[in-house]
Amino acid sequence: MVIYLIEPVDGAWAGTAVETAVACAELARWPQVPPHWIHLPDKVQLQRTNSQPSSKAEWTMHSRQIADWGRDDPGVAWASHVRGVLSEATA
Amino acid sequence: MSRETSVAMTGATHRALRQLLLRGDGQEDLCFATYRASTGRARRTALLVQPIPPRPGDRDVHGNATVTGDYVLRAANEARQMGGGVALLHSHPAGSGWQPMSGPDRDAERSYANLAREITGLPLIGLTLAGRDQAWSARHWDRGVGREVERTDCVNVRVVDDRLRVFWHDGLRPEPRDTGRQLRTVAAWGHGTQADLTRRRVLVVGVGSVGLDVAVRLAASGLTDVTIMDFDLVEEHNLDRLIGAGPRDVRLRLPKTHVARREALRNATAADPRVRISDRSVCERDGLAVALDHDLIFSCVDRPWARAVLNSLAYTDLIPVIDGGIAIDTREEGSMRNATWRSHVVRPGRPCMVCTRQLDMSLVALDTQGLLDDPAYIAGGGRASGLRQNVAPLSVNVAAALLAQYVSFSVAPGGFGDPGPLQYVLSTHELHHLGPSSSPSCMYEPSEPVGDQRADLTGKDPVAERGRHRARTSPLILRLRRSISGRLDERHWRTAF
Repeated sequence: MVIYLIEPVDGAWAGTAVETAVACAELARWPQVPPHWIHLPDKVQLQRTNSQPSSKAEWTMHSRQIADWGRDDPGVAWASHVRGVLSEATA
Repeated sequence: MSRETSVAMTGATHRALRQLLLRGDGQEDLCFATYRASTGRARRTALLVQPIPPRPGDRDVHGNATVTGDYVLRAANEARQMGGGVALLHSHPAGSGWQPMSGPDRDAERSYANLAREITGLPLIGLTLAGRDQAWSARHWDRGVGREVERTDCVNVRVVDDRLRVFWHDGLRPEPRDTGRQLRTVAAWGHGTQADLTRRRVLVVGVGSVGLDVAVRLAASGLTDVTIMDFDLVEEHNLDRLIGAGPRDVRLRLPKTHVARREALRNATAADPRVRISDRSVCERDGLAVALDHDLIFSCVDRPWARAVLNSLAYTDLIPVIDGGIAIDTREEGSMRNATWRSHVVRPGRPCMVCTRQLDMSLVALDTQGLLDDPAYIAGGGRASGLRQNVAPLSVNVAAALLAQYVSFSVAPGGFGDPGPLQYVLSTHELHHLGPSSSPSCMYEPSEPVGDQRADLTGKDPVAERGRHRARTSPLILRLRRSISGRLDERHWRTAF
């Protein structure tokens, strides 16, 4: 698991650095293939989500498809994608 | 295992080398270039990457041409730094067609073969450019060591440009025997073109409605070496589109490749056609190795992962991919609103499938995890289950669009090669030339051919494994009947011809 901090600009966690993660297995084909699952601590709640338990205790992985992958710098695009997802958080 | 050898280059590399090798004064010249290896299951290809022009004093032109040791060392060191090998190229200004090796040519290349391999770890590649028709010939100095070093002549040299030009070693891959069954085809584009096209090794990935039609048409046009790759079985819901397949094939749980091979052989016009089948997925490492043995690939699959692999190797390994698909737009009550089909050649110089929005890389992650067909995941609200609407009268248009791209890319009617991405709109019956350009961040199109150094997109493909498992675990009686049926089909075809 690769854990990193993202600070959303909107939503319940706006202005707070939130821990988020991707599974190493999903990074095997990076940068050609982006990860699909965004792992978040259970305290971060998204209203509409298709989720499954994360391999990290007390975390949940959320299904989120990134749009237009390959048309921007991969690192910037991924951070922007996760920031957008975190902006949907209700708690 | 003995391997065939080949060389491939882009049109831009061909032009740069032509500029270096064909002199105004009509004398022979030479230069070096770097290459990277692309290793298939049965063929090893040298992908030319970068010419290394001679500096003043690097070579001596005196009718023939000779090089200095410094030039050889510089070229080999440049090649080593990029993890590649070195190619020695020279011209025969008055030559045409595949060039035989003269004694001096052979001695010159042999004298550098050991040094180049010592420094780069890869064999020296020798190439000759014939001045009259700009035909290439090539060999890999890959056998023996020291004074015993020997060459393996290449089967062909491929130049991937707005058309695919293939130069053949007639001794290793002779012109197919004339059967008299291709008179109309030969009349359309001439004997020379037919002798080229029919020798090309073509892979059709996916033999659903489109791939089956494509494979049959290729065999009918006289191709001698076609491979069909699929892992699915024929099922009842396929019968409205798999022309040639019948209820008996469903009962026998026949793999689609068997049906496609049967239909291709029934329609083949070559004297000795070879239609090989593979139940691998191109997403698997050994499936990719099969793909790397081919000169041209038809992408007739809709799975994003397979399309991502094919999209990549069109640039990394210089194997052009002819791709297309259909989208049928339905209204909520179920009636048809519109249908569009698209086709394009994926190759250096043309935008990749991601830039033309024909491939969504975010779906590849789902596909690799088997989630696109996972009912539990779909039920969880992640995405709608795709019905993948298609109808027989329209799928033939996709096959026709792909084959038209193939003819333009191979024959260049009127001097025009592949036309770029095309879209046909059924509702208004309009054909659009699409003008998408490569994204500045495109990971494929601007890159050099990297061959075996490509980013590995392959892996364990659970969908393919399930397909093969279903074929293997059929009841014994079905497998026996399938085997007998296959033998009878084979005998019928042999007798009929």
